[in-house]
Amino acid sequence: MFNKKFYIVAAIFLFSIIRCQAQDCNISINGYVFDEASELPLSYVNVFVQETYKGTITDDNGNFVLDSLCAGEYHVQFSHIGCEPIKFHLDLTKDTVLNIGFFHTVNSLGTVVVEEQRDNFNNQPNLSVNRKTIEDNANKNLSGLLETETGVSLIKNGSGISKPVVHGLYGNRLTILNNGIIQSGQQWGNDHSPEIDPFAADKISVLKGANAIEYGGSNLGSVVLIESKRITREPHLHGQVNYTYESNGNGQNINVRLAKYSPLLAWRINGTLKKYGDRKTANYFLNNTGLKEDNLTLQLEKSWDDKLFLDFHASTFNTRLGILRGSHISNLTDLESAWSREEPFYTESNFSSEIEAPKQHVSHHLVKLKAKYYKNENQIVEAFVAGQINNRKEFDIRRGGRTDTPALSLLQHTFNSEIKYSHIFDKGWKLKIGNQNALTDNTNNPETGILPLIPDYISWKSGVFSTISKTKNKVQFNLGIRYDFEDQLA
Amino acid sequence: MIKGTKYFAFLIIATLLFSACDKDDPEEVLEEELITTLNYTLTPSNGGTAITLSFEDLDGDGGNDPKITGGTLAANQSYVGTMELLNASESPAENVTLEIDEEDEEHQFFFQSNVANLSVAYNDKDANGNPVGLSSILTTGDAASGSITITLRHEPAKSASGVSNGDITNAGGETDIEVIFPINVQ
Repeated sequence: MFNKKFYIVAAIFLFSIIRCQAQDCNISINGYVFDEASELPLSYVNVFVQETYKGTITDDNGNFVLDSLCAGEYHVQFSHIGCEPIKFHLDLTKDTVLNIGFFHTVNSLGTVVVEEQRDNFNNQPNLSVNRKTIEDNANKNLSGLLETETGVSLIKNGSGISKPVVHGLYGNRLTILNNGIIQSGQQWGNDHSPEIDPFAADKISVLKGANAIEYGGSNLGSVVLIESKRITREPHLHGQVNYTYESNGNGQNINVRLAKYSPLLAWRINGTLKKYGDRKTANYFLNNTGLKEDNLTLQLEKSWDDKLFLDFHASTFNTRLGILRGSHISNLTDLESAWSREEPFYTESNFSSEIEAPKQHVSHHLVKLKAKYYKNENQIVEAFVAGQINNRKEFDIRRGGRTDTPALSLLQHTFNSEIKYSHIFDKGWKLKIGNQNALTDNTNNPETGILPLIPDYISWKSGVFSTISKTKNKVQFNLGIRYDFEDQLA
Repeated sequence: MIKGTKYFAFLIIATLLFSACDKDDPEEVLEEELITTLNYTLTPSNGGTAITLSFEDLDGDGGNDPKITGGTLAANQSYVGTMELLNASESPAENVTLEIDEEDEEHQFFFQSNVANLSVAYNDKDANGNPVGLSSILTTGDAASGSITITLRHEPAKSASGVSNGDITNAGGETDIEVIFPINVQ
């Protein structure tokens, strides 16, 4: 193994010497860095070439020059205060001009949108959490990450269980789009948190207003978007490992991300493992507040002539959540007595990472295939098909040895499809039209021995929408219409 | 254009596939853990007619209101109380008392009374020597009226302070059933 690696390294080394000797080392990179929003030049932007450890900064007019570079492959990084660095791979063969647009925002969230020229069809989301924030808050779940945003609050049901609330709306009234697919879980319950690993995402945003019309579901105005970036055109294997330790609960999070681009096929794998034991207050441990989670995401991308893009996305999310025993009540008298206690029932003096009933076992699997076709600079056709499986089991304290039998057991299959056409007209008018379909099959598993709270059902949903938007100077104009048809068979 | 055609073909196939089959009715489930009926039978210790305090809610929580029958007890009398729990939503009715008896270490009844001079003492013990309450002794004092609250707790902390004497304050656990009976002592 080691021999082989060394051999490759040696080969690259030799190869680069030969190339350097064969070619002159007088190639330069120059360019211009500007603010994407204001289109004004950005000065004092650091430009750094990783391989040569050489760098420069942009002048007052946003210009920079890097010279005396040999031909070869480089990683160039642009960084500026308040922005997420832009980094890309460059195969340098001749003098090159790079014009870089930074999305430089003054707000403290430091939102950076790295967009390719063609991808500016998206209307700007109102609020967003970037990759850096996700990495820095590895111990938080999806809702916890959104909590800091204006207008977003949480319904919390103990460790690991929380639901985002935007402008008072939650559950199925707040559509969550996981990589373009409407997250289909058991959104009716207050203790059913979204089954998404935020670590697989690069950007989480909350979209409000007319733009949200583009997304189906039963949403009433707000949409949470969870997006992963396209795989960077980076021919080398790149990876990242994040490890977080939280002393309270002996919590450990590990996330591994690997990506590699090749014209043949680009791939990215993202895996997360989480384990928490009982959390501790000043004087005692809260019994049964641990959680275990394992998630895996695979992304594959392939493109043809930068015109047709095919993306495959598969993810699995599995979690086991303990529910604080002392908060588990059966009637109002129990609630009253729980409230009036100074110390909750069932606290412990010793740490334990056991997860016992009451608890939840939740799995969510998603597969998606998406195609995007650029007819020309101004016209895009997009289509996807996706399937989801959501399996939720909730365990209660039960009589007669039935504690190991779930008190709630639901299996939901969902199929989604979408086709969307976007057109940019002259004078900045943007038009989007599309059709979405979703089929949901929800089944109660009779193993529970309890009359199910919601019936078995099949729901078929179809929708068409159209949005028109135009930005002129500081005024943004949005208009959208949508028609949905839903058939439910319970 | 070809893509569009394919998409519509997919749509049509999908529609046909899914509209062709109706959702089957879910398998009938027999509710296992429901307690529809609680009968607390009080037999005078010196013989005589037994009095039964009963609670019945055949459709479970919600729906129709439960039927609660209180009772009139004699003053300065002692009664032997027997608890019976049923799930009458099944036919024949399931005797939940047996289940409680089997798991007596995990269950305890609590009797709270606001009737002057009326007290209830446990008359049984689980394997650990803690009270259960399936059998009890009720003693009345002078004439008074009020109510008795009977609570069945699942997995209470029986060793917590006061619990084995019938004090519910530190018991914890989940309430399986809680009934308030009006009582008249004459």
